[in-house]
Amino acid sequence: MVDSADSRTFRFYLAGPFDSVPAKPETKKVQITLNGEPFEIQRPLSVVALLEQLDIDARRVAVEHNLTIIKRHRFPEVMVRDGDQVEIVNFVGGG
Amino acid sequence: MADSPFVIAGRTFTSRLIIGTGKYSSHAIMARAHEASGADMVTVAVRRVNISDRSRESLLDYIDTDKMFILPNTAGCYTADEAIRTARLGREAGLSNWVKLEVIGDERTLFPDNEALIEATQVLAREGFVVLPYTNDDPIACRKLQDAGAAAVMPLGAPIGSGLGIQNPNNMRIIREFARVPVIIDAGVGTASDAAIAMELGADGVLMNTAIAGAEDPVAMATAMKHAVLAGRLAYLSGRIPRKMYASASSPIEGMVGR
Repeated sequence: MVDSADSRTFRFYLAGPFDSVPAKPETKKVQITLNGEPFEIQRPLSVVALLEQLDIDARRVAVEHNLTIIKRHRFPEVMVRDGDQVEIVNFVGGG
Repeated sequence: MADSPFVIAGRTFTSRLIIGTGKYSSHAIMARAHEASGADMVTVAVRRVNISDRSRESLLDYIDTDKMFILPNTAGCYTADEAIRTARLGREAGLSNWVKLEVIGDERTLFPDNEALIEATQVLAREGFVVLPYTNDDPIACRKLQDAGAAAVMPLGAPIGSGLGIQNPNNMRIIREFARVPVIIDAGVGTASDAAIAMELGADGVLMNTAIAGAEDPVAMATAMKHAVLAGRLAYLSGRIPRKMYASASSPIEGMVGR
């Protein structure tokens, strides 16, 4: 029987000084702000994957990620992560 | 008197009538009105995609972008920063680096904030945008916008959607006299005669939305506006008679029977 102090020391010894918090699986959902509203995605997504999930045609929109406009050719590489702010705009009727 | 072409920033337009895409009861009616108007440039707004309601039709499904030049606006922006941000997004949404720049100073009148507008024009012109600023009938503001790099100036005839027509014709004439870029009278047109008057004052073009979209029969009004702009332009080029206080008879005095 190992008491709790020993078991902590044991884990610390085995794991090394920088692994004191064991890695946990990615069960936490990703919370972002999308067009001004809270929105949840299952995991970090590229902009192109996010647009696909939302059924939005990438050719007809402009995307801003954390206040930076993302050029279309970078949609596959820019990742949307927890806490990010995304704006997706398109053309609508106006004078 | 053959007309010179209507050119803005090196691009030639066949129609001096520019119309909007807002306030129509349906996209289908909008498309028919556009066709009837003969316009080859239309304005659009830049807004968030409706994430929750994906069923709504896309505006661009009803505009043939091969024939119609799309001019994004920065409607609803109240600061230079907002307008600059919106202009950049409009450019990124895909079609050109042109922008109808609006920086609004007051919600009820929708009059422009010229100070912020001039600042935003400078920034955007430096970034290579073709800037068409919506301004008021102040010739000095128009001059400053031109100096800031605007490709045209767009003084309002009357408040947006008011249908009051050209409220200050003499200022419009002066703006046209001073300006070295095209002058497009934008906002306030209510009916065909207003558009004709705008062109008779020497405007290079007229921009309108509500006058057509809000008419009972938008397609008929679009046709009327097409003719009005053509008539007004032709009248302007024809050298009208001066205004006189008294009569000058049109028929000869000699040869009257009984005299």
